[in-house]
Amino acid sequence: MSNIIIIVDDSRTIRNLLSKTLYAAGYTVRQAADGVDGVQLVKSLVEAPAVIITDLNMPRMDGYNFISCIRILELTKKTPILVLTTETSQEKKILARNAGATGWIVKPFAPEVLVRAINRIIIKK
Amino acid sequence: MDDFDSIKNIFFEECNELLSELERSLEIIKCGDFTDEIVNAAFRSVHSVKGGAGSFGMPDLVRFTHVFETALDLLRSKMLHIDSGIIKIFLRATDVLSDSVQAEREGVAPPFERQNQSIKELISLSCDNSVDADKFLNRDDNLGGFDEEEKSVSLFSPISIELSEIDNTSGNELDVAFEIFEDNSSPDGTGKSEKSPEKNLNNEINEGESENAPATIKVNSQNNNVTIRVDLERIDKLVDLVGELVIGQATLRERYEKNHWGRAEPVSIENALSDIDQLTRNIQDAVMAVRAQPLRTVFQRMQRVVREAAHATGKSIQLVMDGEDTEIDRSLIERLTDPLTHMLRNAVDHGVESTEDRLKNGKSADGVIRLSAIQKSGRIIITVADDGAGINRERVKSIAIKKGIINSQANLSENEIDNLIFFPGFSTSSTVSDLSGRGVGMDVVKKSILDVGGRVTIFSEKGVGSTFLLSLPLTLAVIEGMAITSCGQTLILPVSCIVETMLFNYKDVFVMGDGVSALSIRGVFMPLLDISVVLGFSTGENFQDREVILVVEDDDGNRVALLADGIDGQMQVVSKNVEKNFRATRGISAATILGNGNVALVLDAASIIHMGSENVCRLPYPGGLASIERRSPEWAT
Repeated sequence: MSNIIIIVDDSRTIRNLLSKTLYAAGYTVRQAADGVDGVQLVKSLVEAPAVIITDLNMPRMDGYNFISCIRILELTKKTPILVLTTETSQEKKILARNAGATGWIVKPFAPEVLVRAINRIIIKK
Repeated sequence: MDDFDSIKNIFFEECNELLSELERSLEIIKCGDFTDEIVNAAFRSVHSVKGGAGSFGMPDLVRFTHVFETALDLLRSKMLHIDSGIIKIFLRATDVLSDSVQAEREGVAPPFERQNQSIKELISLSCDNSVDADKFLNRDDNLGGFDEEEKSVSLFSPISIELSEIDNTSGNELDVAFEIFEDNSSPDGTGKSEKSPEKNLNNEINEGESENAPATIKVNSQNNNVTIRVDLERIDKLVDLVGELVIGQATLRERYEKNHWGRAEPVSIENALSDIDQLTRNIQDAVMAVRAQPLRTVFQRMQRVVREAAHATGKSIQLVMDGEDTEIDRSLIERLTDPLTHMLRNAVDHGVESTEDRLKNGKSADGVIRLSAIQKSGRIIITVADDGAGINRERVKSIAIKKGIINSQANLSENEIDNLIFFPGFSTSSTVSDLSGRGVGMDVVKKSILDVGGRVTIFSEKGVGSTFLLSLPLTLAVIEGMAITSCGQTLILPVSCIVETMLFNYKDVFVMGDGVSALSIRGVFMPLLDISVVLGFSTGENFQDREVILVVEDDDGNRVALLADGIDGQMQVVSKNVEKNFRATRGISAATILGNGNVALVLDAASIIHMGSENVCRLPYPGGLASIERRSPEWAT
């Protein structure tokens, strides 16, 4: 089973924080800075990633569109997608869910908790 | 430095970029011609700062950015009607945010007073009075009064995975994919049971820097880790070139060995050598491209400088920028900030007139300062131009006389008068203002520009405005040079300043008395200088060894004909600082080591032209040239 985690976020800080954390937990991390790059990255994969983590508000293509785009791909049809956001409004969560998100992470996050949660998601899958 | 610190550094670097982006977006919005994406970009910038600040436990920053982004969100959702007052509030908030980020970076207390002031302004934008300003102003209220859900704003607060509790009423297919996870580790759903990781992390972080640790340590750790962001494309190119170099080197070795050991006919190694020649140059360019950064970062900062200066002087000034994408060596970018800040403040304070004076003179009420950059023949030219009153030469002259900078009998050209403002201690402002009237500005500007191998030139026209031209080398390290010989010395002349070269013909020389000569080139006369005489290593009595003429030009278009013994050829030279290792020497900008191991001096064309013109047009100072040089060796450079 793949141990690749995709991170899509326009903030370098967040990308770095996430990748360092997940890398330390034994995952292979691939990053993209916006939805467009994210879709391209996902399309370039041979194996489905374990989890995809994406920001919502990004330039070029936002998180909702990104999720919709990759949900129709055969490879990532069932991949857990977590929305990473400080925006906690119910409306945005519903929008993200309707686009195909699996759950969400509220920034800021504790690395350990994040890793544990992701481990759980993967096991559950 | 551990991972956490290194990511923190990334955060601060990113903050700078985000703040530039924010400022740029706001400037565009201010002009009125903007798209939703621009507003969104402004929002996103603040939002990203908030996200990072939360991750690194900077509650003050989070508190401020939260209010800021809420206000920007109003703009985004078109609930605010944009006018100049609103933009001013946003720009002020940007300045406060920038200072707050800087304070976090330096580990000092953020500017609470201004933060609170700005928060009040931002909240006042919201028509919705339900927002309680006080709850954001009270810092003691640990979390700044966020909504329950946002209580996670603290260092690595535990609510990391929040799991869906959204209604399960709809039964469409996507809901199937929307699995509901239960966060077993935090039964109460708020994650409060997970205090331990937070604690551990706090401890870990604090091991390195306890709260009492001096701020200087932090500052040092930053300085040791200057990083730049480079397009992957540029690195790839470099890697490709190095690959080719390895092949080229192998070819050269093989051919050499064939010639050395081989029985067969010797093969030419010339081709292989010229390949390597070419490659070396390409690699050099590629490496320089890695260090090159757009001037945007410095230019963006100038918006704020002008804004604040205009505010302080009560003038209305617009800064127009052009050529921000011009790239320049990273080390130069850092050293440009201070001189440019000085120049722009000066332009606001002394250049642009007050609104009343402008209207009186039939000008528009708003002053315009143009900041532009362009790459021109191997140098970067940065222009700071204002449409103000121009330099008041009578006043400059009388002040210079009063301060003993020049003699009262001095008969100076307009250009020479303008240059007086670069004299140490010169200040034309009758009252010392906070902005630029301390008289330490322009000479420091000139010094710092000269230090990086640049030049400053002024053009000023009464009633029309003043223009300052900064001419800077593209890079500090390597210059394209022409090797010339004079009296057995090899000298390097930057190729960028050479207009043409020709054989010397004694027939063209016109002696004008006093040992001053001019050369006629196709009917045009220009001063003829023997380079060895100018630099003082020969008396230049006999011309018989002199064979070539090099016509050189400075940035202002002044030309002289330089007389030398011969031209050795064009080469790229790595310049070494003379001033640091020896002392500042007129006419010499740097030194270099030649292929044969000898040291050659790199000539500074502009200062040589000036040195020559001093000889040609006798200056009217009592005691002649020497008296000026004693006062300021930079006078003519």
